[in-house]
Amino acid sequence: MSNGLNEDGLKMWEKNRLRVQLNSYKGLLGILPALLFMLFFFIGGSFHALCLSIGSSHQISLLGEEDLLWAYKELMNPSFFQSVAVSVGIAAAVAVLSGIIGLLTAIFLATKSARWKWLHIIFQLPIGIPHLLAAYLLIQVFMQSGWYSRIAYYFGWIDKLEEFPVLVHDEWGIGVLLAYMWKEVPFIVLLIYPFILKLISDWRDQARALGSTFSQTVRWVIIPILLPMWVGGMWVVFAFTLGAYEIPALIASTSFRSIPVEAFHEYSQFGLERQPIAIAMNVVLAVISLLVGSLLIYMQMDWYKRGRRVW
Amino acid sequence: MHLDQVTIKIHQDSIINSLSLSIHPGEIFVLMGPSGSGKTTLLKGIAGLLSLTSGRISWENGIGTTGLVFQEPRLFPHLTVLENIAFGLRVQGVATKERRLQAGNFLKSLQLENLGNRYPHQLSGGQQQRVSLGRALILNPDLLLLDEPFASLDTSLREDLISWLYQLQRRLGFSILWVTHYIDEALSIADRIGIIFEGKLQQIGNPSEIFQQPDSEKIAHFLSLPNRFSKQQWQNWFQRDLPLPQTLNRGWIDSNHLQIIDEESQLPSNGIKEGLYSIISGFIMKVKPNREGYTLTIQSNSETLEVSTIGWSKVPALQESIKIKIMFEHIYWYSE
Repeated sequence: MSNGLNEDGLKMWEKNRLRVQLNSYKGLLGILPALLFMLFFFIGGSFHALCLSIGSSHQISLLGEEDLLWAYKELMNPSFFQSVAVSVGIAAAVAVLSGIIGLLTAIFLATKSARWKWLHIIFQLPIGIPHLLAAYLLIQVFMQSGWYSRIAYYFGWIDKLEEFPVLVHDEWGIGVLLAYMWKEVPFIVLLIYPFILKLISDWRDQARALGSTFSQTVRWVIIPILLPMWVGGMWVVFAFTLGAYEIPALIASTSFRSIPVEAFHEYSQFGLERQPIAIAMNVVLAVISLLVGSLLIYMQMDWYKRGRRVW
Repeated sequence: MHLDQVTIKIHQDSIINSLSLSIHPGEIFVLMGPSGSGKTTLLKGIAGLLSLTSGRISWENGIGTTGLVFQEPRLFPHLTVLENIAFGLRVQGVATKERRLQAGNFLKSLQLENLGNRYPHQLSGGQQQRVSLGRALILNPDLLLLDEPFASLDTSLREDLISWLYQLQRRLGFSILWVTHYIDEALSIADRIGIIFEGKLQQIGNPSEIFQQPDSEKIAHFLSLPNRFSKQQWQNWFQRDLPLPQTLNRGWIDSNHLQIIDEESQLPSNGIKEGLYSIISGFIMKVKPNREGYTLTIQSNSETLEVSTIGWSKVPALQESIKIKIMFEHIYWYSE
């Protein structure tokens, strides 16, 4: 007997205490398998890639010393910086444009949802199409000898097929933008549509009762409340586009040097000794992506800092 | 504000049917009715959130403005108290500095000084509802529409807020169309009460008229008036024909007006001439304590009556046999 409890009571108390302790870590325990799975691949792989890109016993300088960071040093040239700028620029443009168009589309669908259910299905179709196929479809319809060019020629809008604007392998990356947006706008719509539907149902009447037009309600109520999720969605698109290979390889390989395409060439075409350069290129992309993500998380935390909430 | 033959249909269902109503300046008009009777639809129609299928709304001075407050505070979660209150001013295009100044000054009337920079989740339920009211009132509406605004609050907070809003309304002089299902709330603030059933106003009157002379048994039932019996039943108890107009064929009596008596007190001994009364026998079926004493459910033959007693000292016993004195003059008569 201790603390006024007999042996059975003590056992029961111990058991309950253990149960309470387990319960307080329930959330963490629930995601543990997924967390371990992610860390198992991520940490080991990342560490190995980083090591491979930073230094290597394969590469010995002319003076016979081990040359650490040789792969990064090799990347320090205007051509690579230009490629980084192009890749980041394209990814940012795709993210922002998809975000804006996706938001407007989701709002439109949410306001017309009762009548135009079929539009939802159409907007979900591109999500099931692989990026490679999306690029191929775009080539078929937008290239100068493609469908739209022929239609324009047939109706006499252009005198020869070459007059059709260059949208594939063009120097401004319009084809790449179009192909990505065809895939990413539906992704943003799918991500934010249910929330917009709920936000409209929650706030439209209240805002209208205060005299607000629908446009004011969207700008001052719906977008601010949706902001963390919307920006998060755009970051996912940015990170994906920054590292994706298929579309620039198919549509823009001759017009500008995209980092993923360059990296793939380094990895697959120049032998094992060039692989650290390919990995270094991807590490640079990952760092940029993580920096942008960290900046957004910082801004989001700052937004919430004073106590603001969205739900 | 005048509603003239207003009809509101939603998906072909008539929710409001040819309803006419006038609300006078500075008046508190309480609208009561069962769930689904069209109260909220009417408020939304007046506020412009639902379009009228037919009929019209007119105002004495041409154009009128409304403010609508819902049962839940519905404060914008990403905006501070000050920004929430200033939202309507922002919509009207008032400059940032000016609207912050106006909203800041208004906080005092709302008893929310020093809370301007808080977010809604950092406020109590009562404070949130005050912000919600302030957000509508800062726009200086001609008519404030309240859709059971304090229904989600506890009783004491609800009473405090009702008293606060009543004072504010008497000071500022705006009109209120107040939907509630609390009878005590209606009695404490209403200048007039309207009873709505199936989208139609059944009766309008001041609180005493509504409660003393309900237009129908349906209304009396909705108001939960106790001791409602047919004229025939009353005549059985009084053992005579009652001198009443033909149309008044039902009557009710408040449980406070039924008097439990002992054998001695029923004898007319003091020489004061009493009015027409009846004494009926019964036994106690149920005892429910209340603030003043007990509410007893009495079974008398096949009828059940509700009697209130004052004082806590004597606890009535179940199955105890008692006699009840009913004064004719305390019965309110109405039509079936």
